[in-house]
Amino acid sequence: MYLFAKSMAFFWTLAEASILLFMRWGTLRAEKGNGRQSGFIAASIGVLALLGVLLFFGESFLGLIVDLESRFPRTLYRWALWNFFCTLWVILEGSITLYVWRIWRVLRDAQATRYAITRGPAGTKPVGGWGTPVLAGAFLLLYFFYQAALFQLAGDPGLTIREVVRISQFYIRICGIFWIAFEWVVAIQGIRAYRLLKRMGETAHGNH
Amino acid sequence: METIKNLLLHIGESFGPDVYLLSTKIQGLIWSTADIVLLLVLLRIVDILRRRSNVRPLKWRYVLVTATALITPLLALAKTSRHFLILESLICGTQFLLLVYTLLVERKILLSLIIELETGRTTKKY
Repeated sequence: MYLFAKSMAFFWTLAEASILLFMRWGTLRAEKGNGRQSGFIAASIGVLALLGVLLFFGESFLGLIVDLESRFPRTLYRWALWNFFCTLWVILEGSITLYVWRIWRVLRDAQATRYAITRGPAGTKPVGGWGTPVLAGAFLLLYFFYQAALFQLAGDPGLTIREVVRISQFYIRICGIFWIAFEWVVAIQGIRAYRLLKRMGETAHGNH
Repeated sequence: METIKNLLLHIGESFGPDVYLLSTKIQGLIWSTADIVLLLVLLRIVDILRRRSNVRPLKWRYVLVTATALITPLLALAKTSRHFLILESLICGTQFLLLVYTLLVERKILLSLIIELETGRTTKKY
């Protein structure tokens, strides 16, 4: 079951990373007229490969340094790993949301200017370009802060495996709030984009 | 720090399996509904663009989305977290595969929209 959960975790990471690459490509193409992102793709493949190694072999590697044979540290490690991936999905979904918002803005502006993309002068940084690093930084901080507090607590005598599991599961539910928020924002932006496209199609038809 | 420790200890005592499973089901139903909506909207957008390019409309992808929508309520009946994970993997896995597949296969159609918007300015369509 643990292997199945890890495989699904990797699948979701791959799927969300692919969606993010598509969204980034579309946004860059619309905002700058150039969707090339070979460097970003190469870096993403590298990161994904590292994540795969961490997910499937991390326990074996770390087990060489620290004791993961005992149930308590192994439980701590496995939940810390799972919660790290939960954080990663929040960051990926949040980034996708930011790109969807930027594409929506391009569409909205195109409609406002009678069907044409308007771009700033060459070299102008699009608004929202800082969103992903801020988002990643904030959620990684949340993860490390929560995990550090749990690890510190685990150092004290008296904390049981049952409590470690419950505290870790509560973190997943915190992430769940953000998954829901981001997915609904994307869904609503999608509906708005669809209505806008429909309107633009009708306008185009009416003008021809 | 002591407050956070106490808070975590309180969570460790009170956030039991039943509360976890119930909150997971509620959240799962909400995000799965969002997935269905955004997938349907993406397919509708693609259909608008396909129609403009005189490409026949989508069919089986709608069928698959509908199938996932029909089994989504089963999430509420999951008896354990394991059961929930298996169901969610089936539902969400299918939806994510459809999303990635649609973006991959329809990228040219989606790109055509951006190109259309770009050229719209220079050719003064309106």
